[in-house]
Amino acid sequence: MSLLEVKDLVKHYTRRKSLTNNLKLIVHAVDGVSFSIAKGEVLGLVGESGCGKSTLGRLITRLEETTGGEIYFREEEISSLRGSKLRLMRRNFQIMFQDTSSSLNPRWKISPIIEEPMLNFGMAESFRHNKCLELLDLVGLDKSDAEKYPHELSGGQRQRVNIARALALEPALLVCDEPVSSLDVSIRAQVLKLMQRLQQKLLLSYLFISHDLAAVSNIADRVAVMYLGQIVEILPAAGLEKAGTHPYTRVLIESVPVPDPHRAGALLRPAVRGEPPDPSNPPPGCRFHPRCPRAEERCRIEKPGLRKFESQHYAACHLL
Amino acid sequence: MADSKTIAKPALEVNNLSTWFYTDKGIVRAANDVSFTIKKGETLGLVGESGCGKSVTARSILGLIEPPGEIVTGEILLDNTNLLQAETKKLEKLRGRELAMVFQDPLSSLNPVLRIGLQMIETIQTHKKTSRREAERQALLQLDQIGLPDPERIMRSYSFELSGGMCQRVMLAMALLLEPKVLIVDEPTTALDTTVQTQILAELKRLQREMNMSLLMITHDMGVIAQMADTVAVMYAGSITEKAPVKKLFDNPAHPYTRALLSSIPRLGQNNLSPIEGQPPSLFNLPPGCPFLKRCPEVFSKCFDYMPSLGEISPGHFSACLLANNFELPGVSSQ
Repeated sequence: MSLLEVKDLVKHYTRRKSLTNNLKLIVHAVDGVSFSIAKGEVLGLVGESGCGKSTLGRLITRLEETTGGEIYFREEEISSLRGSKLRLMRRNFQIMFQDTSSSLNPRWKISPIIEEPMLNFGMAESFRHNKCLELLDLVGLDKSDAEKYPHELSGGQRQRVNIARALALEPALLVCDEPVSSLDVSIRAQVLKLMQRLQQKLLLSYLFISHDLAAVSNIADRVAVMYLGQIVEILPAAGLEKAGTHPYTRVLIESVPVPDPHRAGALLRPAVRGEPPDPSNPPPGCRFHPRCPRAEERCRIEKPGLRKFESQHYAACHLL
Repeated sequence: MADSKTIAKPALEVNNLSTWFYTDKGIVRAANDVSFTIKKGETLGLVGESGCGKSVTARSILGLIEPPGEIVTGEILLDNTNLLQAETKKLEKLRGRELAMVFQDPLSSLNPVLRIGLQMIETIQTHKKTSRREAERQALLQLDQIGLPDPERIMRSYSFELSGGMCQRVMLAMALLLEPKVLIVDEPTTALDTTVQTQILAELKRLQREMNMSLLMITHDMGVIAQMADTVAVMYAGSITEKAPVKKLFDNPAHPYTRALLSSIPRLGQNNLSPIEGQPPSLFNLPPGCPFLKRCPEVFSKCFDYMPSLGEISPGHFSACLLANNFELPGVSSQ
């Protein structure tokens, strides 16, 4: 049984063409996305900025209303939940963001920040206090940090506070939106390692959203690759650098700068040109075809669907 | 090819540069005794975490340090001119023509209320006596060179109408307009997607070759360094801790910090992250001794005694670690 299942999820935004032009444009942020996450599984979600990966995270945690499709959490449809039912459901899934400082109230000390979710669910003060200290210990912070303000902590420590708060209600699923992107190299590995340890210890499920394929491949069990609102490939993280077959996945893999000067030069032959097109006017056929090095006539007309390659490996490409 | 590189004379030489900030809370020693040279046509990668002093070093070279910051000691030689003693007028002439810089955030580097074209033409006309039409022609050519499609449209655009990647290309084009001999790029692609990063770095490398330009590349990304740099300087807490040709540095890292840094980066297809515990020290009143000692797995008693300076362990390979230098280092820092 999967913990979370998403079927044909769609999110469209409308915007005006420009300040002076009232023409309505539809931005296809998420366009027919389906996947599932098992209990204790980490699903990585990668793609360029603007591909809809953050929107997807916000839809799952019900921070945005869906345009279409269904979201099942423990086999219960949650995209239409309202009011108190939604409120109660929310404690099962939490989200944490990239920006470590703007996601913490600068005027609050760390302990009320971590205790707030528990307060929202009416837990007693002594319980909250003990739990807070327990959580601080869990994420590798000192008990004395509870009395500090966010600005007194470093970026890495603030992200630990974010993790502690997200875990306060003992959720089953954590949506992590670029959790380590704003951190320094040496701190990034610390936080990644911590998240890995917590996931195994508490048997959490993560939707781990990042543009950093190397980081994702380190923590995830499976990786979903997103392009212009659609999943183009989903495959096991182990051996991804060889097994990834979709031309876009290949492009992402090849554009990771390899920390090996003996293999220098690879970077100097870009696998793709340009940037993703405007999501308010996605190209017909395969959405990647204008940038695809292997595009054929068929790709310009016909939309490819996700096809099964191996037990956990799906890709949407005509040429495979 | 290798021979011509070794005898080439340095395009930029930084000797014993120290830049300190005198704040109310105390002195921040942001850059301490920093020395390096960049040969003509070569790339020096300056790596380190935020706050290690790499951007302060770059700003010192360009003369962009403002109070409470002050360049305490050192000399910066650009073609035998010491920039620290040059007059303001001369410095203004050199900046742009000889020496240019591209910053991390392209959106805040461009003026949002002026069209791109005007900003480029202004850059040219400030430094060269050219007609507006000729300046415009040069700007269009440069935009095309850097791989921007439809340069005419870009010239008419405002910065907010372009994507981050396009803005960064515009910034590069502007920096290259006057064909500088030395270009400093400070985390030029950190904010961009890797797909766009690859394209921009490739263009940069191509143009560098064509113009035989020297590059000082500041980044925290060891992957980018491995791909771009000829020589690498690793900075930690305001000091250079290791300096070597790129292959030597990656094959035989001779400072525990470099080793730790290399093993803490996530790599595709490997699942063995080993983070560096702890955090970089505060730059207020650094205690004596090696700045890395609190996080160093190989620390021993002598490390607490004084701050080790760089010692040459093999030709061209310098390390500021007692272990790499058989427990002996000649210099003791002023602290």
